[in-house]
Amino acid sequence: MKIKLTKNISCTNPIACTERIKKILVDKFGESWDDKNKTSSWHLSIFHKNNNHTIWLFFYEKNGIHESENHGKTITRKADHIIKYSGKMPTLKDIPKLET
Amino acid sequence: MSFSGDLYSTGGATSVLTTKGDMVDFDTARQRFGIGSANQILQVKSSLPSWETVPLADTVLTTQGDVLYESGSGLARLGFGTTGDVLTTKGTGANPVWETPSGGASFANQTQNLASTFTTSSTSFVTVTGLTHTGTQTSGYSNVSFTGSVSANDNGHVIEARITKDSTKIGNATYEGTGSTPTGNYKNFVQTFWVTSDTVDFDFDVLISNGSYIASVQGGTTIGSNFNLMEVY
Repeated sequence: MKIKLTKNISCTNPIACTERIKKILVDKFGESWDDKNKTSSWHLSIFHKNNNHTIWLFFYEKNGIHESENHGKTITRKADHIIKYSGKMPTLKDIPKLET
Repeated sequence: MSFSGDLYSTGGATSVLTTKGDMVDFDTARQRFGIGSANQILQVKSSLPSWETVPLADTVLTTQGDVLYESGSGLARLGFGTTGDVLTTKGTGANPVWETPSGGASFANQTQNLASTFTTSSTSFVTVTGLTHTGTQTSGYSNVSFTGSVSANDNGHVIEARITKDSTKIGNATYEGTGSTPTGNYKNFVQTFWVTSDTVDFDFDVLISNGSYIASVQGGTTIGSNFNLMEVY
């Protein structure tokens, strides 16, 4: 499940910016990475354009199928370490406030 | 020895010279050798003197940039050409000409810079939005240089990076993250290659080996990431 957002965020340290946003999402949706089993159930990508951050959230819908965006389209690839997101599949209205 | 009076015993010079500038020469007898035309020079032809017009270079060339050549019947002028023309020989029995050059190499650049930094926590490859390049090249011969400036926010965690052309991997590398400092820890993934297909579609993909961390691809014009396709004609 892809959720794509644009937010009026500016940052000078994209890594710190990503860490901050990821923490908000982890608090809401749980860890994306299971370090014990080396599996992933969702991921986050951010394009850090000033005042216009694009944020992609992918909550995986099937075991073994990774999802991402390529040229504006959602694409899937097989990946053994991908597991289905176990919670209720979020929608746009479930995304908490990400601005500072 | 000295002379005085008419040097000629009979038929003195006054009997043959009629015009200012005339001279006397001798064939079978003394005779008048009439003055020539302006700028003519005295030559010998058939064992007798002769006034002749000689085409000196400065009488053939008239304009700055003119070129002197032999036309087969004498010196000739090739007027200055058009800017950028080159002098071309037409081979034996032909005159040189100015021509517009054909061939040689010229170049055209297509560049895609990553305008802003891209980060991801994905543990499978994701395409770096803003660092894809789709273009066409008509010459059939283009050089692509790619620089991806990548980092991770934790020591020891691996970033994998790859370039795809038309969805097929053509280069890849792995790097270990060096910490969360936003500048100074980026490593450059540099690839150059030649392409010959008409349409080129490049993507740059990254992943982080541990989903608890973040891979970063640096954007911006100073130390950013970019594709540059240089077409050679």
